[in-house]
Amino acid sequence: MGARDPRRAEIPPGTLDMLILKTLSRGHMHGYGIAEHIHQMSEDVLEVEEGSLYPALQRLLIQGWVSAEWGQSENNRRARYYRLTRAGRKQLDQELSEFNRVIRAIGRVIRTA
Amino acid sequence: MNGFWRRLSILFRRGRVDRDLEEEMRFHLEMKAQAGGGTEEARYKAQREFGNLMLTKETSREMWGWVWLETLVQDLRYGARMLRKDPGFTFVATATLSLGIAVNSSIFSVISGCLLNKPAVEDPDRVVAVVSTNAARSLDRQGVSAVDFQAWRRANHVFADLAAVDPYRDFSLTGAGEPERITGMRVTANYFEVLGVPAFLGRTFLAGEDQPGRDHVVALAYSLWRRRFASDPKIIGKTVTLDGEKYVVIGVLPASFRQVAFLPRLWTPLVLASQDPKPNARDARDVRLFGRLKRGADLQRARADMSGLARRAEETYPASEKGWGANVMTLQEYGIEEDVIRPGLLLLMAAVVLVLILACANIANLLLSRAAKRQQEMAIRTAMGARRLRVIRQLLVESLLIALIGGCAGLVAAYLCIPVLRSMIGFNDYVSEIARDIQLDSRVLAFTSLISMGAALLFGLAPAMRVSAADPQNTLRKGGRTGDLSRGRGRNVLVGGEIALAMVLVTGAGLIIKATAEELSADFGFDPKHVLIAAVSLTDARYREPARRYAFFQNVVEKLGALPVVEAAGITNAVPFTVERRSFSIQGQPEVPAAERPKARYFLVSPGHFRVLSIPLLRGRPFRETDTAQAPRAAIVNRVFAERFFPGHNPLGHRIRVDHDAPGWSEIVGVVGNIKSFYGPKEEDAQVYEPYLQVPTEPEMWLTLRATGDSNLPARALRSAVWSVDPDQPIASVRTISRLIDEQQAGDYVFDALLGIFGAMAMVLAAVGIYGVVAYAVAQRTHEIGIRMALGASRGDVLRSVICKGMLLALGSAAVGVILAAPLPKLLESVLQPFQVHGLGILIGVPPLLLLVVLIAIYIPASRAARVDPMEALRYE
Repeated sequence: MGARDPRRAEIPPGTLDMLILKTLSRGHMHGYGIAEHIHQMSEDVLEVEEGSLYPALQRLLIQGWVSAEWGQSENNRRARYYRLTRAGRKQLDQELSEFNRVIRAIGRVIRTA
Repeated sequence: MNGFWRRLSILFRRGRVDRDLEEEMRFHLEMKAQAGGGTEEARYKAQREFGNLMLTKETSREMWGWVWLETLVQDLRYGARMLRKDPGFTFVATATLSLGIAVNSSIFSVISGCLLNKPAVEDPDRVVAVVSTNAARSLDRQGVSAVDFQAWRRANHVFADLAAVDPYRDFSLTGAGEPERITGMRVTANYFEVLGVPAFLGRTFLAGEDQPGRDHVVALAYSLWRRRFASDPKIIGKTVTLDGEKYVVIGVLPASFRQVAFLPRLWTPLVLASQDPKPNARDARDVRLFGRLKRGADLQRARADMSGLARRAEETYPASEKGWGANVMTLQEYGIEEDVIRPGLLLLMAAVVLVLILACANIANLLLSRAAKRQQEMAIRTAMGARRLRVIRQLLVESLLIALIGGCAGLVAAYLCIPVLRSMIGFNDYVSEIARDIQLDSRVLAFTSLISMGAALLFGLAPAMRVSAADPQNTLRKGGRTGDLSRGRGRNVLVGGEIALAMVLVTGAGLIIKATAEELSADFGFDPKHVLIAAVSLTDARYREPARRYAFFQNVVEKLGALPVVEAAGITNAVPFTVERRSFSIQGQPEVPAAERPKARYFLVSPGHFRVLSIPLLRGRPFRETDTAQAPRAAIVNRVFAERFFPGHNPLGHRIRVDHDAPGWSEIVGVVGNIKSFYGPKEEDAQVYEPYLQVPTEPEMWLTLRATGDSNLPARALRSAVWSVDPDQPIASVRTISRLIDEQQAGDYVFDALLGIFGAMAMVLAAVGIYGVVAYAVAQRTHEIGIRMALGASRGDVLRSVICKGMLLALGSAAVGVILAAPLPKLLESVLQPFQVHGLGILIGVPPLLLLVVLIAIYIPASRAARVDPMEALRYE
């Protein structure tokens, strides 16, 4: 697979789920939409690889944090839309606060070091 | 947890998940291509970026965690297809295995029922038996004296409560129906509470019912209640007559309750004298103790506590307690004389495990032959990228399938065998009671699945490793000519091992059968044919006077003697196999304490008894009707007695005194032949007879009669003779002596028969094994044989060459087998004590027998090889 764009960054391990959940908190969306959304919102820094996106979505389905159903896409195609469940929203809140806590902690370490 | 259910539901909608994934990924791709401009190039770029669609789909699917199951199902399907494709192989393999499993499950069901079952009491691990031991006299499970019981019950620190039972209290049940002798047991009032067994109807004993005056209450066993009282639901509170006295029925015990070690049909309270015990009370060790351990007390502590108490008694009462200790055992240990049953069962188990191993070896052989044929298939799979582990797994799954089918078939076979086994084992009342527990229970099921799996690994692993290890390139290049595996050393080793193992098993079985057969065919010293015996017990108040008892017996014997079908009639205190030993003194020799006197088996008989059993008189005179209480006391001894105590002398005229209730000097008036007085491979023992009219008879005696031929008539005649003298007199255990002998010997017969069957199975399996290997080798070498014959080898040459190769292998393995079997006689003798194992004949005889069988097994394929038509063989290749 061709050379990597140097501006792009790897998604830190363990955060993909959170990003997907966060993305879905704005409303239901299909897989392609989720990838695009993360890509745009991160100002082209984060690129979600399909090879990790779909396994991650399956994982979230198993956990019951998202649900999926087929619907019409904006260009009138059949697409599978994912939606955050109540458990997923709770999970997102947890992950966000945990993430923020860790980020702040890392920040403190970096500043004082 | 929720996740699990979602996973599970997905398992059944796998197809949809797949379609969904595929569709949404395709949608993704298209969207991506469109975003890139919708051109062909954009499409390619999108695809490149997406990567391997299949792989993404699979990893997504793997999230559900069912992949292992799916491949397992695949393997199972494939395995089933392979087995279906080769029905001959499948049949032989599963049939062999089911045979091995059936015998294992059956024998294990016996072990499970007899050794592993917990007694039907509450919290059985906390209920124990307390016994007296005496190392010097090698007694390990004697009863305890009532005096000790009362002291120990008060002083121990380990039991919540301790109960005593007198297990040998039989009652005459009279009233409605024929009078009947019922085995009973007297128990202290707390007994059922200690066991934790509630009544099925009514209640069990109340505290205080084991006090004099309140003790005329009885609890019935379920079986007695059902048979004798027609399951009368209103039985509670009714009275029954036992030994001529009225007892109130207070309860019926549940059907599931079985007394450990004894077979009582009713229970009455055991009244223990609390004050002024008799002077010899300490020597009367006639009650058995059962206790329930306190919370926190275990067997170890109980043992320590009880031996401490026994030691204290030993110090306080050295005269009677010297040498006596106490031990605590679990109910299982106590219930089964482990030293008798356990080694036998374990030997049988060892034999069937060997049979199973042989069966596995045969299946492994078949698999190896098949593996040779399937090498190409496996090579292709490996070349296509299947990992080695995957190939092994797939082959193992096939083995597991064989094990599954074989295991199920074996289980069915065991299910059919168990009733047969149960009835074979039920040769006497107590054993058949235990045999009721022999079932296909959960333990047997678990055991069967375990050994099936184990067998699958045993016969499946080696072939799987072999096949998967083959180098695919090499195999494929050879293009179907199955080379290296066919000549595999592996199969020769397997068959060689089989022959050696079979040798060990057959030798062992032979040794045991020979040892017990010697016992079974031993001379009884009397003629058991046409002899009928019956027990009568003159226990009720009417017979308290000895004179009344004499009169009764005299009367009955006369009546019986007068019958035309009766050749002779007599009475005796003991029938063969249950004869007590009593100590005695010889006049003129220095007096020694009772414990140091010699002992002899003791009989109290009427003159007719010798004629009934046809015991030959060797010297002197027989007992006569004139040997009454008024005449001088007489005794008859057997040949062993005479030889042992009067070596080189004439014993006639000497006087002996037997220790019993009415000791007195009796003159030896005759010498008779030995009879086998108990069952067991011990040396012959000294026996002494006294006339029953000169010694106050024991209340329980046996009537014996010799009939003129086999018929049911004497049994009826005997009953009516007794009842014409006393209509309320129960008659128990009416049976022929032959039946009595059977009851003693049946166990050994069954044991021998089973061992014989297993030995034969081992021999057949080994023969089939070597047949398979030789037949396979012949089939593989058809081409070569054809060439040889074309070059001038005669049919005889071919025959000889095949047989030689096979027999060489067999001889080598037989030699190994002989070496392995050599220590067996010693080993078995130590296990089977006191049987003596004389092994040489068997050790020498078995190898030729086995080799003969093997030779036949080799001859069949060898003769086929000799019939090869060279033209055809060469054309065919």
